[in-house]
Amino acid sequence: MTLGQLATAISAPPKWVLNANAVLQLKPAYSVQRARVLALTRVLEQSIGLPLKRAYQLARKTLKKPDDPASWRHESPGGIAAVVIDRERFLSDFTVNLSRARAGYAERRRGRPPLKRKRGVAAAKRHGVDLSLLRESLKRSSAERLRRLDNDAAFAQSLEVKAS
Amino acid sequence: MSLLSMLEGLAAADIEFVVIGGVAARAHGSPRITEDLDICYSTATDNLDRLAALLAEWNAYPRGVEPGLPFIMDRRTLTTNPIITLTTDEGALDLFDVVEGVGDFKAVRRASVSVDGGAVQFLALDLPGLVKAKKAAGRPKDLDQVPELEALIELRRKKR
Repeated sequence: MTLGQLATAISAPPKWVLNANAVLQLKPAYSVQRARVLALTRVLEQSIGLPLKRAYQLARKTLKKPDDPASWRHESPGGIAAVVIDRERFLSDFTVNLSRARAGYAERRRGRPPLKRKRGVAAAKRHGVDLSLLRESLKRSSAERLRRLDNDAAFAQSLEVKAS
Repeated sequence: MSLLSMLEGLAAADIEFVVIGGVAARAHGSPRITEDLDICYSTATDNLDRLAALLAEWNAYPRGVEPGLPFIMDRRTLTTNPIITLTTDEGALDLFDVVEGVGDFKAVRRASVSVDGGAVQFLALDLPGLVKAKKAAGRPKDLDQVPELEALIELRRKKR
């Protein structure tokens, strides 16, 4: 996972990720696990206004026990105030954002491209190729791929923009 | 399972949408092959409900992630996620509530043209709109296609 993909997976600009790593003293790690924790951290920081460090602590505590409904509710002593996280909704939105990141809709890279030319999958990713489509295609047989191409080509040929 | 069956399904379910991306470019004359259908959809509540129901019927699931992850296909997911990339029983479908470079659904609809797909009629983003969208997306593969789309604009103009 690249920085851009991680940023997309957590719905934040890359700069936020870099700042969060620095403030939280985290080694840069672009993994799904890290993305999940930072995604919840950002939700808590942005929507409730929790300071970043506190949001991160709460996110880690919450995600340590994903199947325990009780861990997604944090109450103040005496039960005066509570933070309740909709576990299913958070995880569903995270799945959607992870998919978007992998499909090539990651935050656009800025600045000069790296000097060392990338090859293969890395080059395709950088180019914006949707690797999820390639992976789907690889699951099909050659015959199925060609059959779909034929069907879709016939359909594409039938398309006609109506005169206005 | 095909681009045509997805379009027919969307039309039959009375979904308000405009085709963008590769299928729209193809409709205008681009020779490029595309595997997925990209649409911009109206965010009116009833349209979101119909779209969510149809996608649930199609067993829509986020593309490129491990199977079995939590995913709720409902109106709220459409409302809170501006871009959703899905695999469905009918094919690969990408949903956009806004097209960068063009605007929200109303703006995209204003910049659309009617397309006769034989078995189905639908709206597709026009060529100038596609060029704006590709430039705004800014990925190398999008920028790659801009010269071809601009050439199509010129050729269509000369044809008249």
